[in-house]
Amino acid sequence: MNDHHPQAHGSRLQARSLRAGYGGDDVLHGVDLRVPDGRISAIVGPNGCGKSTLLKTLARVLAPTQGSVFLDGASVHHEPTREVARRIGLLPQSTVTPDLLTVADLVARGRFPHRGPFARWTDEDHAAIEDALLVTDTVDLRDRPVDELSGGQRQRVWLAMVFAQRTPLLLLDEPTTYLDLAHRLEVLRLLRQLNRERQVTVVMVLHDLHEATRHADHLIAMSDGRIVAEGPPATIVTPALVRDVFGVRCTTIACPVSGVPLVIPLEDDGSGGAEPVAAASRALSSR
Amino acid sequence: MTRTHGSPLMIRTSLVLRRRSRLIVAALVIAVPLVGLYALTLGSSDLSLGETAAGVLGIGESGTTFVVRGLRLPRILVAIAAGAALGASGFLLQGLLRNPLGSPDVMGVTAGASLAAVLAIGAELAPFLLPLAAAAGAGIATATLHLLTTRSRAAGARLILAGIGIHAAASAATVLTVARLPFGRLGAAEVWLAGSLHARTWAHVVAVTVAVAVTLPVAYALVRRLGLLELGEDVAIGAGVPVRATRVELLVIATILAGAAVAVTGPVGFVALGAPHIARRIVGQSGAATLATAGLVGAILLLVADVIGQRVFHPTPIAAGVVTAVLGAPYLLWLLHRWGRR
Repeated sequence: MNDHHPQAHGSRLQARSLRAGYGGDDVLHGVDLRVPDGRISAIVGPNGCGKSTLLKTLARVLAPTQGSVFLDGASVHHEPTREVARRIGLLPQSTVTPDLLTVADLVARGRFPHRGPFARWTDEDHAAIEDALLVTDTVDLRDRPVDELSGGQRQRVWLAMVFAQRTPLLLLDEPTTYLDLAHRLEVLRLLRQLNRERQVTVVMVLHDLHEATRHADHLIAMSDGRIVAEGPPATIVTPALVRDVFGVRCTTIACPVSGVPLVIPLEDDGSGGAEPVAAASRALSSR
Repeated sequence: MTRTHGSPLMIRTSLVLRRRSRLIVAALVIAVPLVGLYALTLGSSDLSLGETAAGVLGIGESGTTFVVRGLRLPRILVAIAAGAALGASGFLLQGLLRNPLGSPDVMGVTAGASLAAVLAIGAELAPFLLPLAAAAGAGIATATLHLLTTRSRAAGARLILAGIGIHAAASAATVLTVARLPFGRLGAAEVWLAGSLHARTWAHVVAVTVAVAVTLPVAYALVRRLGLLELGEDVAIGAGVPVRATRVELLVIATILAGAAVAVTGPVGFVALGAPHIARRIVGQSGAATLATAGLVGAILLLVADVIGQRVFHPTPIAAGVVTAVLGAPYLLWLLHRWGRR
């Protein structure tokens, strides 16, 4: 699999022969993964393929039934969890917003792994909290109750909470789900900015293949609890992969803006497919 | 938004919040002894505030000093310590269960204590064993809740239902036990079940104060972890909270607090349920200040309930537990109504 990206990348976070699941039934059937440092990786695949399970196991929310997850060479499931939290941040899919909790209070809680049980707030804590608010453009919301915010604002605030943790690695489980197009782009742009400016390694589960292709450096395609393809989107997103992973017949065209492959599904009988694709290509190229 | 915001902004925000919650805590710390002093003036013979204060300090008439120090002060101190324990216990449990209904009197902890106490009365155990039996009953109820819910990783409504189930089962068993008590033991059971502060002694004061003094620092240390647990289990794990250990520690501390309170007062309802809500409303955030506020509000609620029981129903006072039950029922209904609308 590594021959997809010939230039060798370091990898602080790795999974080896990982099996994991819920209540005795494995969802992951042996996953080997080296998360490339300093890149944005997106895990894609159909519902139930194990992409969220993989992310949760990497983040030690789930314990593996076999195999291990290594961070800097040590098992994340055996290291003190607080030590791990200084290096890996997690934005899970399920979050709870208590009544009356203000944005500043929520974001400040991201500092947990850096603070002793009785420690007062340090300058470093304040700087990290404020920086997280600035980066996510939520400074003006800081005294507002989180449960009064709109969906897009709320997601930015949760991102700020995870950013305040100041970790070199970030894991995000479907960070764009339930957001409208503008807010999805905003979240993805924010992650890109963090990745480019601070070399934060990002791993996210994305539901939308198109979004993943456009915004990730590295795609991890899963099917039936296994990784079936891995590498830069431009090389691995092909009609054959989409057919094998999603069971959808398609063709691909180059995105007129970024050049990455865009997936265009074909009609079931295959007859009506070519014409819309050609029309779409014409429409795009005439702009 | 620009970079000119600079760091002072953020620091100022959190300072304002902290200053406000500190003021609230300070105001309550002053209010508790004031309400307590007023409560001390009440009884079979009303004393003036001056006489009462003199009695507390031991500089008044010897008769007054005896009444105040020997009879009334233990009652008031038990009310303060037990009320604080209930408020803190409710705060921790509600946070842990992420549900406003998650207080020891709704989740079966108090009911378990009552059952054990009634069984102890039926078995004619020595009176000083009654608080120990009650505390043990609280512990058994919590352990049952823990066993019923951790295996399935139950959360939210299911957990609440399990607690309400334990409450119902323990209450039914209590009624059954009382029904089969010999006539001579009925009175003792009835008095205990009413949740009374009547005839508390310095031994009660010492017992509940020690329990509170030992557990509150642990509770304080747990508040920060609770703050993340409230945001969801996965968020807490991601932030480095040892979730399983924290849940157990929170349950143990909440049970010791509730158990200690129930052991010395009998089952007093509403305080553990209402005090944390009031605290969250007035402090507006959740943290150490809210825990302290919940405890102080709990102390005031129990004191006020005792005052109402003595004052309003003078000359035949009723138990504080009866007053809180009367106050608590409509509050619970209102809470359910609000919860259902969300």
